[in-house]
Amino acid sequence: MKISFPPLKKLNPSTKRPFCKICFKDITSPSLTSLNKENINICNDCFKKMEYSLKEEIYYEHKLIYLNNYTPFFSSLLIQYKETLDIELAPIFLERYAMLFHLLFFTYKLVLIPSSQSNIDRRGFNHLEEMTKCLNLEYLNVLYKEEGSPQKHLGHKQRLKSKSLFHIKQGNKITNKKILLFDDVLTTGTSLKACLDLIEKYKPKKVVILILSKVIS
Amino acid sequence: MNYKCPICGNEDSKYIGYRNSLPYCRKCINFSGKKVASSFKHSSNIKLTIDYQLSAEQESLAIKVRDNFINKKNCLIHAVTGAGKTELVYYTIEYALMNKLNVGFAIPRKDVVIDLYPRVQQAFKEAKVVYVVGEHTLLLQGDIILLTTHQLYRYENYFDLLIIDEIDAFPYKNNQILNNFALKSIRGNYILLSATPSSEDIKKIKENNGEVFTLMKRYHNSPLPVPRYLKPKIHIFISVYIELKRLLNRGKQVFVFVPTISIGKKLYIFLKYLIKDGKEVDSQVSQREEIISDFRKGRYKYLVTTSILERGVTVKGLQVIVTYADHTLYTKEALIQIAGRVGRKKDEREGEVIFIGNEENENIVSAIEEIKSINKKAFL
Repeated sequence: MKISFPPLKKLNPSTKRPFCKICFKDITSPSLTSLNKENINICNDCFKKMEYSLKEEIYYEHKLIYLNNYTPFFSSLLIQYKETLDIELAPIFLERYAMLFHLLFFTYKLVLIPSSQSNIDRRGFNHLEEMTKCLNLEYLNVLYKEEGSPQKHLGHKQRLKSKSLFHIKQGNKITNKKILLFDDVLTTGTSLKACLDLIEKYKPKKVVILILSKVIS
Repeated sequence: MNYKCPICGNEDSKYIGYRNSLPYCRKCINFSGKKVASSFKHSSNIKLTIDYQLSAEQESLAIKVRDNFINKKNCLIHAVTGAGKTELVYYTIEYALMNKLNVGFAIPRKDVVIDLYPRVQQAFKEAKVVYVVGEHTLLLQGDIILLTTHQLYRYENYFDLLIIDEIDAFPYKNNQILNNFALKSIRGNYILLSATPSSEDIKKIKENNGEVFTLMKRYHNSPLPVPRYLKPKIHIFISVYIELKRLLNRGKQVFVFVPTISIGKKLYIFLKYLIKDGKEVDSQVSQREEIISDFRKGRYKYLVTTSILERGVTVKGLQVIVTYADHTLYTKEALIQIAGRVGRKKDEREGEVIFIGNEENENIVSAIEEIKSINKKAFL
């Protein structure tokens, strides 16, 4: 008996194969992420290099979740994203955890640690917002940051001393809500603590802090 | 929509991203750092001082190269490994410095740049020589700027004389971005140096207002060491051990080249227990500059190395073993370069180059043939 196969379906040549946003290689072995998402942006090899692993801590009586210990590879990616303004990298940071965090926090409202207006203007985008878009959570823009001298040249002590530049507007929006507070890197915690204090004044139901990378000193 | 990156000339849509719906190039995005803006005030009266004599061939060619530059022409110097290529451009550099022109010396490999720095400073004592490589970029300007080809993007339309050494080396070769940066950095003329230029390189330079100069003799007038092919008997590692032991017993230092890092690690684990005083070096080893300088001082007897040491390294009395010489990574050019590590010093003109591989393939045969034919041409 002769077996005849139906002709293979012709692929549209314009169909773009997904490629990794970091190493530019084609993504051949898809991950679990591709089950619920069409666009995948990072390959398994590069994801492994990022050395993500979910860790939890208690930070001023709130749950703090972080993924990375500020490894050199992660740091170079973050610099490429934030400083050389490579916005295409935005989805890679949370892509692999998007499903998990969406499920864990779908009752939460997302509050971002704010950047100053001059930084947003310089970048042309809000870097935290672009990163967290894949989580599909509702944002509450209540925190703002005044213009001030950048922190990165200050030492640990000076950072703690410097006056807080953060303030809150329409704080009653967060009253009795579950809040997910998000930032990219936690160094000394000055910004985070200031924002946490501001939020707590308006009595949210619960606050969970999500950080991509925690610097272990 | 077609967008062409104005910096690196990339058109591939894969590397183009969109920021606020404006296209930008992601291929060269990491080449963003401080650029040279102001002009540099050159020191005057810089003289070339070398305490050794150039050979007659070197001398005459060096003058030709200088005159070529004075006539505002480009050139490609095709000189065998160990011919003393660097010395050939010294007169040209001296001429350029006397006329207060911007001089750059670019090399694809970081290690080679760092290696070259003291030599150039020694030759031009009054000049301010700076080297600019990754993680060493605070000082960008000087009378003579030594740099990797990766750093050329900082110098747009800057160099009146740009010398590019080892043009056939990774990563410069066939790299559109780096080639574009080099072109953009040149304001005057350029000199390309290579021991193994492709016919394409030669064709290109002739089209671009250039000359080709050749030097087939080493500066000490001895022929290039001719490599020997060896078929491993039981296992390639055992053959490497036997040959290595034999060379070390003569009191020589040895480079053992391996095609990949993982092979290098395996081989070194094997050799470590049999022969002491060795070290393994590859691009992932961060203290490799230290290891190499220790090797020069004689602290190590042998180094297991990947292709990072295939170029630009001069060690007195060095012998070379190439493992898996039939590996696809070893092109004819790479093998010639590796063989060129041997016998570079005046008082150590001879040495052994051993290619060990399971198969004597075309690259091995043609590399050996080419070295033989160069020797023939040089000593007619």
